[in-house]
Amino acid sequence: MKTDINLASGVLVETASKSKALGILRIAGISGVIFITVTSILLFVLINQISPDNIKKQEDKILFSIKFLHEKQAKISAVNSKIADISKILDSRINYESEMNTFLEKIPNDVSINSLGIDKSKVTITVSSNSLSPIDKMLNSFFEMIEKKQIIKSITIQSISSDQGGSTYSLSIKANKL
Amino acid sequence: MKEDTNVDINTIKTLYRKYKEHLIYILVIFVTVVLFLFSVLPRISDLAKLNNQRKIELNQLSILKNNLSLLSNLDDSVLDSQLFLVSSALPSEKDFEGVLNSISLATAKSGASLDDYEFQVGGLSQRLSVKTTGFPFLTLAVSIRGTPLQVAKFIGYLARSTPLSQVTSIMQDSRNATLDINFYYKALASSQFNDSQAIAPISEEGKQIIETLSSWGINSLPGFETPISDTSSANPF
Repeated sequence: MKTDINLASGVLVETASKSKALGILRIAGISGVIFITVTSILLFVLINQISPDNIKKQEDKILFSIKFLHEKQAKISAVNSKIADISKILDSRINYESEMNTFLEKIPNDVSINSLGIDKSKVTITVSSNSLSPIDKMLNSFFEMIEKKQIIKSITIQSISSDQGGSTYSLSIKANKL
Repeated sequence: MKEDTNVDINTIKTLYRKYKEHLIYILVIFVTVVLFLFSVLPRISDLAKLNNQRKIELNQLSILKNNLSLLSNLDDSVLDSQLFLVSSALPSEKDFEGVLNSISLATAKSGASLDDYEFQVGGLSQRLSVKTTGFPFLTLAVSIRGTPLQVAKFIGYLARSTPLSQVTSIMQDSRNATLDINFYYKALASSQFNDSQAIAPISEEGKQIIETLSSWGINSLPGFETPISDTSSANPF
């Protein structure tokens, strides 16, 4: 049986395809207009919400208020700057009081200090005593300091002498600081 | 051979009449596409920029709000006393009076007595010292009379007085000592306010330093003058 017999006239077929194309165009056109309208409205709302203009207005208000507080701003800036500098100085200072006391504690009572010199890198001490024993005790204390890595790292005995009668002994040492 | 295509006005009119409705929709679609390409798309790309700008402005607003809040809540008198305190510790210029007061008080408290002192003002070596320490200083050579213990105490008291100082060398014999002392000062850098920069409050470390300075007995009220000891032997004047 033959099934591909077209009973509709050529004009009817053309009209049908024309109205189908028109339908598609209509849907596409209306959809496009709706899409553009909705997108534009959404964009308008979003841009208005995101716009930094309102924020800038608030900033201007705050800046105006801060203008009257510039003196305080200068003061706190000065305080912070000075504190930073003071902190650096305090951190870099050497505690000479403690160093001096540490050495004085190590020197026995029967040893008299002829001279004591301290600077950033070395300590020089000249002592004298009637006996060698307290001088020896003192030296041992200094050696302990080196072992404990306390203030000094090495000692050099620069001179050791006694007077003519042999009643007074003098010792001069130089210690390098850590 | 060129084939003649004769499209006359009647044919166009016929086609127009036949596809009039189509043309309108095609025109609408064309306009929609043009609007999308030249109006909507650029706005969409602007959105990202605006969003970034908004973030920057919000950040700036937050900084400004914090600055305003910090400055408004600062007690002016407390700030003045803190500034006085830190300025006493690190003066903006050579503070001869402060230095002499400091030496005088330290000798009085330690029980030593001041023999002699000598300011080493200026000099060619100063530029070098600024380079090495980072801070300019005034060097004072002091001779004091006292036992080593008294000298140690003197150094301790001096370390806890203002202007901030650093003893650089000690030469002590049984009764006398000669010390080289550096007294620091530093001029404040000229500050230009940048409103977009956050103002830092005084840090915890800073507060501790202020407390330490206060504990040294520096009066933090402006206008206060550190008293000079009545002990005649300790008075350098």
